[in-house]
This record gives sequence, C-alpha cells and structure tokens, in this order.
Amino acid sequence: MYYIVGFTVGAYLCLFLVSRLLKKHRGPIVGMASVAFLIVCELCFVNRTEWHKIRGAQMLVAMKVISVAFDTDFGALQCLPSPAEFTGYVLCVGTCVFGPWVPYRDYISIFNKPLWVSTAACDLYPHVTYSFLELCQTSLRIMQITDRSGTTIMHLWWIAYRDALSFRSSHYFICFLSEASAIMSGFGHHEDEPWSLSVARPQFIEIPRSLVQVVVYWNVPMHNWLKNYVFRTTKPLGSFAAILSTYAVSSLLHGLNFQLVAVLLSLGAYTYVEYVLRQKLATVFGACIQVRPCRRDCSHRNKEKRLTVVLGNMGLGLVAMFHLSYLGVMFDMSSKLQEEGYNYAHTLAKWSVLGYASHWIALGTYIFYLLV
Amino acid sequence: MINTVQITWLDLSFQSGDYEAFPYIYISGLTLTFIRAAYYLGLSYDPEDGEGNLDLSTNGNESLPSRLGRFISGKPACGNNSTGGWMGPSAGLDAAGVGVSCMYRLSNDTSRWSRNVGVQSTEVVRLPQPQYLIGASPLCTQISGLSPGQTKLCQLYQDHMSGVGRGARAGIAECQWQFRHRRWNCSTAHDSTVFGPMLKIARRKASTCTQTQKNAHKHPCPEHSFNITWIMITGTAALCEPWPSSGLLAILLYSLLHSSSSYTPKILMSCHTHSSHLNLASREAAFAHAIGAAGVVHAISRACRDGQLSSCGCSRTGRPRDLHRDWIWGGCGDNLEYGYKFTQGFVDVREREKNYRRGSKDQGRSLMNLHNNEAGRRAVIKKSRVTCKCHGVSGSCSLITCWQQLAPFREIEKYSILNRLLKLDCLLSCRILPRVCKKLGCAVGDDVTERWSRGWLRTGRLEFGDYIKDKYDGATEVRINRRGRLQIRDPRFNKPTANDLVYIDDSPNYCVRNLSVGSLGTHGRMCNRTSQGMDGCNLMCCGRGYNTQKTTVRERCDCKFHWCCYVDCKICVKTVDVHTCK
Repeated sequence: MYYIVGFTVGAYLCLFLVSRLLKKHRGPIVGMASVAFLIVCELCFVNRTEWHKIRGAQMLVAMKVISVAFDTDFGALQCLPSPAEFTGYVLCVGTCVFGPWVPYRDYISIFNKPLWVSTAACDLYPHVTYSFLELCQTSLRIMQITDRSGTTIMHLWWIAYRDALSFRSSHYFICFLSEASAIMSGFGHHEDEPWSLSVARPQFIEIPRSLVQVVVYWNVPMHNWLKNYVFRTTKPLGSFAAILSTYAVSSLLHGLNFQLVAVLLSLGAYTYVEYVLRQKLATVFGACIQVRPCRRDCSHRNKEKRLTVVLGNMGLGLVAMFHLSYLGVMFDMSSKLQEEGYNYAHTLAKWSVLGYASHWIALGTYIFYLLV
Repeated sequence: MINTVQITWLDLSFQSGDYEAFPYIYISGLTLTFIRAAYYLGLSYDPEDGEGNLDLSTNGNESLPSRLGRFISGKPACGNNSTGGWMGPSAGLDAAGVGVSCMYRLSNDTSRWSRNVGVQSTEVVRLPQPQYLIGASPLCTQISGLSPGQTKLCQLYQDHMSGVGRGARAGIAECQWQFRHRRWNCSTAHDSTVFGPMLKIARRKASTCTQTQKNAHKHPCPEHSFNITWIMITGTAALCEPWPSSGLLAILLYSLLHSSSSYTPKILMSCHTHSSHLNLASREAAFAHAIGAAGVVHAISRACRDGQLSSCGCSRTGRPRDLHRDWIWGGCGDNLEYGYKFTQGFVDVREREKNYRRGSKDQGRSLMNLHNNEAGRRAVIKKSRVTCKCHGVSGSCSLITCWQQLAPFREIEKYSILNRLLKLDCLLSCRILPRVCKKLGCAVGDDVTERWSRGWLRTGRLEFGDYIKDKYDGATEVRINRRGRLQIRDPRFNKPTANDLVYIDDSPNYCVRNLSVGSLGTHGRMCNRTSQGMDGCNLMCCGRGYNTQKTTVRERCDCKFHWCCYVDCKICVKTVDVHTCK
C-alpha cells in the first residue's frame, strides 16, 4: 500500500535531515513526526475501513523507524543506515504485515549467519507454530458456538469470558503466524538455542500470574521495544510518568481508536495498582506474591512453593483473568463495526452491561493499597 | 465417538432445564483441564533459572516436542513418581464433581426437568460398552404419528431426531409468536395433524398433562444410580489417563442430566391430547407446514456445524461470487445443503409414500403440503448470509475469515444489568440464595421461567419467521385439477413460485368453536381493549363483546441491587383489568 511506502520514505528523509542538522535528539523528533503522520493519515486521508486494515502494518513501520532513530542516538548504530538497508529493514517481507518487531541488528545478522545450515531445526519450528495456528482458530470457532441468550450474572460473565477468549485466540493466531513468517525469513537464529522467536506466550496469558505478566507476554517484541525506547527514555521523569508515557505511546501508535485507547489506559492503571499493591503485600507478609516470580535468592520468608503463597498467587491470578475478560469483551463480531474499528458507544455499551465492575474493583484495590 | 454437547439457542421455556447446569459443569471440567495442563507443561517454579523465567524449552532436559507429545497423549503413565502424586487427587476431584452435581440436581425440584419434552439426544456418547448404560432408548417406536417411511428414516438417523424435534419446536414456537394477536393463535392443544408428525415429535405436554403426571418422574438421579456408580468406577480407574477423563466425565455427566428427559416420552405419549383432525387445507395449515420445515432445516444445519451428527460436518459450499476479492473463504459454516436434503427426505416422505387417486382432494392436500414444505426450506436458505470475523494486530482487520451462517436470532440490544437481575432472580436466587427467593415472590421450583420467558425476555425469534409470515399473507389459492396437478384458481393472479405458499380451502371462521374444522373459537381469549388491530376486543371477540375481570397482579417493584449479588424487591400488588372474550 502506498501509505506504508510513503511512510517509510518520509521517515527516512526526516531521519536524514535531523542527522545532518541536529545530530542529536533524533529519537524523540522522529517519534513525534511518526505519530503525527499516523494521526494525520487516519483523520484526513484514509477511508476508515482501509485504515483499519493497515493499522497493524503502519504501527510496525513506526516502531522500526523510531527504533533506528533511537539506536543512532544511543550509539548502538554507528552511522545511519543507507537507504537500501533502511528500506530492506522496514519493509522486510517476513515482518512487514503481522510481523514481530525485530531490532535492526537482528536484521543485519540474518545476512551474516547462514540460513540453511540447520534445515531440520528450521522445519520443526514453523511446523509447531502452524499447529498452534490451527489450535487457536478452532478454539475461536468453538467459543462462538455457545449460546448467547442468557441472562444470569454468571452467564453474562461467561459470555464476556468467551468473547474475550475468542479475541485472545485471534491474537495468538496472528502472533504465531507472524512468528512463523519471521522464522522463515531467517530471524530468530541465536548462538545457544537455534530458531526461537517468541512473540506471544498463551500459557502465561490464559493462566496468568498477574496482569503485568499478561502485558509482557502479550507481544514480547513490542514489550521489549516499549521498555527499551520509551520507558528507559522517560524514566528520569519518575516511574509513574514513565509507565503513563509507555501506555500513552502504545495507544498513540495503535491509532485513534477509542476502544483500544480505553483498554490500554485501563490496563495501565490496573497494572500500576497491581504492581504497587503486590509489592506492598510482599513486604508486609514476606511472601513471594509479587507480580513476577521470585528469584531463588529472594529475601522473603515464604517462598514460592508454600501452599499459602500458591493460593495467594492463584487468587490474584483469577482476579487478573476477570479483568482480562472485562477488557476483551467488546471485540465481538458485530459485523460492520469490526471492519472499521469499534467506536466509543459500542465500547461503553459493552462495559455498562457488566456494570463497569472491573473498574470499580480496580479502584477498590487502589484504595485498599492506600489503606494497608 | 463423542458428540459435542450443546446449549441450543432456543426458547428458554423449553430448554432452561439443561441450560443452567451446563456452565457449572463445563467450567469445572475446564478448570480441571487447565490445572492439569499447567502441571504437565511444567509450570512449576524452576530454581535453576535466575530470572524465574518459565521457559518451555529449557525446563529440565526435555525438548519441546516430547513435552508436547506427553501433554497431548495424557501421559505420564502410572508409576512415574514425579507425577503420581497428582493422579489420586485429580481423579478424586472428578468423582467428587460428579457426586456434587448429582446432589445439586436432587436437591431441586426436578419437575422442571420434565419440561424437556419430546426427543432428546439419547446417544450422546457412544462407548464400546453395552448401550443400555446411557439411555439409548428405542426412540422411533415411542414416537407415535410417524409414517412408516419416517419411522424407517428415524431408525437410520437416530441421532438426527433430536435436531428434528428441536426444529419442530422452534417452528411451533415461532408460529405461536407470529399469530399471538390473531384469532387463530397456532395453538397446538387440540389438533394433531396440522403439523403432521412434527407435532408428535415436539409436543408440549404442559397444556394437557395433569400435575400428577408431571410429578410422576421426579428424581432422575436415583434412576441413574447405576450409571453414576459406573462413572465413578471409571473415573477412579482412569488414574492413568486423566486428561481425557475429566472432559469425558464432564460430558457424561451432562449427558446424564440431559438424557433424563428420555424418560419423558413414555409418559408423554400416554398423556395424549384430543385428536381432532384438521383436514382443512387452509392458509394456516400452509404456514404451519412451512415454518415447521424451516425450523427443522435450521436445526439440522446447526447440528451439523456443531458436530452433533456423524454423517455431516461443516459446509462445503464454494465461495460466493459477491465476496470481496481479497478475502479468504473458509471456516466452518452451517451445513445448509445437508439440512435441506435431510429435511426434504424426512418431511416429504410422508406425503410421497401414499398414493392417492389422481384428482382427489387428498392428493391435492398432499401436493399442497409438499409445495409448502419446499417454500419453508427455501426461506431458510434465502435468509442465510455470510458472516465474517476480523483478525489482525490488536484487533485490526488485516485478515478476515468469512463463512455462511443461518439467520441468527435477533438479540435484544439494550439491557441493563439491573433489568437482567430483576428478571432472573427467581432462577438465580432460588438456586443459590434461597432466603432471597421468598422475598422475591417466587417459590422454589416455581415455574417462573414460563412466566418471564413469554414476556420481553424472549431473546429473539427466527428471522425467517417474518419472511414466511409475509408469504402467508400473500398465499395463493389453488385447486387440484383432473390431471392431478395443482392449478391456480383465478388465472388473473400471478402463478405461485416455489417460494410462495399455496392453499386449497378458505380459512374457516375462527370466531366460533368448531372442532371438526379445527377452530377453537375465541371464547376466553385475552384481548386488548385499546388496540385497533386484530387483538383489539372488537375484532378478536368478533363483536360478541368481552368480559372484564379484575385480577391482582403481584409484581416486583422498587428493586434495589445489593452488592453482592442479589436483588431485593418489594412486591407491589396491583389490580388490573383483564378482558376476555365472551
């Protein structure tokens, strides 16, 4: 599509100009320019249905461009890539459409290391990932079969869970498809373990330990991108500002879609509350119930394997699953909207059915944290 | 082969019995499966890894493919010490789950379960064991009213019969809904041949059977005690294969609960209604045949897609021509061709197997039925449409999958959680919080589902019901000519196509009761004094006038939602005027 190619060309020109003229702050300037371009395109030039189709690809181009800019700032890249290298990186076939974000140095390294040495391993992993594709698709279909005409509270939440699960299955399908295409293009070759490129890990999302883990494992490359380029850059402003700006950048990159923005900002709030609460509880009880599994040498009295700690983690994990169903409930199949991007009214309607329960619970959790 | 069990989308008053238990059982089975999956995939904390990184491929020395293989096959086998400790508790959990669910059913008034009228799927699980274990009753001989050809088909396609029953019930319900405000309201209580065999399969016994017969088969659990024992033995014996067993137990339990209704046909058939034969080939008969056939097509197509039937699967239709060029055609659509063919075979065989004298009235009726059945089937096909789902990075629409789908029920778009709670608290509270039950004005086991399901909570109706009603309004009058073909009576009007309904006789006067033509009359029907339409007291009562009664209606009002999770209502007693025709 012309917008993607135009974005690439425009971004390279911008980067080139900033390199020549300013020689510093390339990252933030290119970042702002990319976001501005995305917003202007979405608002003014492009048809909504068309934009919704290329939203993902545009986001990937933006991420790649910004990563190159920041890398030249940090010094990870000695000099600006030539136009050919840059275009090859940004529009790489294996990672362009759904593909995971890969850093520039990984792209260069696929030319350094030979691809066709371990063809056996190469055969195995795409096969595995494609089998996951089928799995995800079928779970999606099975979930659509069950009845919609229920009225109990239990059934409302069951429907919410089912809709959210079908959305997550669709996401895993896309992630595994992207993983397979990236591996086939040669990414994912490491020294120690061959051919692994993890994009999404469903087992950590379906049976979550915490929402923070869900956010990390939802899309591992994107998490790495946000951590390296946004979080670290804004860390000097304070941790709350850093987290807020991370989610803000993430929602800006996703485009002006109220639903995605609402979900992402809610997620930001929930993860912050969960992180601080569990941190506090961990110090109070001396137990390993933090958002990430403890290291072996942690200083808590009650380690991971104690029954009470396991139960506590499971309980908090169930709360995370509840929040996930709530946040995913609106990605259903009401036909016209799903091709254009769901709007404001649809989102609020879906949430009001469930009584905004999840938001209230998060608020309650935050107040509990303040009191404890 | 295990057929997937399903919740159907039908009218709640028919199906609410099995409906409530299913989520609980499914969730418990799913939870057990997740717990096992988590354990098998080695989600225990690995102390070797510094970050606590629970990486699949590096936990232990086991490679990913063999770990996956282990997970799928349900091993580790017995005797493996590292996992042996989990077998006992998990199988015990399964057995405990079965026991708990059985107690749960026993503790409730089981007359509600008896409303699963008609044919249910009796062979939900086909096991190598003898079939008497799970209700495989000789269904076809129990249903009266099937013609010989239909009985043969029934024997051949036993698993289809529950779908046929569901479809016929849906058709009747739709018919009653469409005609609820008219003089003839599609009441099935007193005629048995308007719907032909479908009525027999789908008979509602609530209107005619007495209370004693309803209570005659309480407590299905003890009758199934042999089956429960067998399940528990199987459950504990399946210590070595826990992965299939939890799903299997969940499905078996559901089939038990579901097949309790297989006991009802015996009592059902003794509870027979009057059999006044409506031989009048009127428009109403035309509509009834069409909607019945349409319901059966719908149900069978859905059942195919859902995998309930062994002889059909997903739809194999080609890509529709009007689909967007770049989209992929795939997925699993409703198998309309199979539904159409099967219904054509099953419903029409009744007409085709008899030979009538050429030019006789019976042949005319038979040809008319065939035509109307075809019109009903075509209505379903016309109303099916292509449905799509978007996939893409964060919900964008980079990839879209489309499939053919039957017209869905209309969903009620606007509802608030409080309204939901109001309408539903009898069910929810009487099961879970009995002390709230009395406050809400419902008794345990009260048949409240009937009451509110007839109200606004009816979740939708078949969209092609409207289409067939439209055809009913435009039905063409025909007659049989000497050559044995149907001929339009008035040559000025358009010839009816295969999509239109035809009728032979004029509709009788539904104002007066005349059982020989199948009219129940409008005596005692409720009418609406202020309405100008057919349900107004003027037209409904045919000028006879109406009686007004005061009745006290106890309604819930001033309802407040308490956290968590019950609704507290006051009971407002109102006296309203109810008008009934003389």
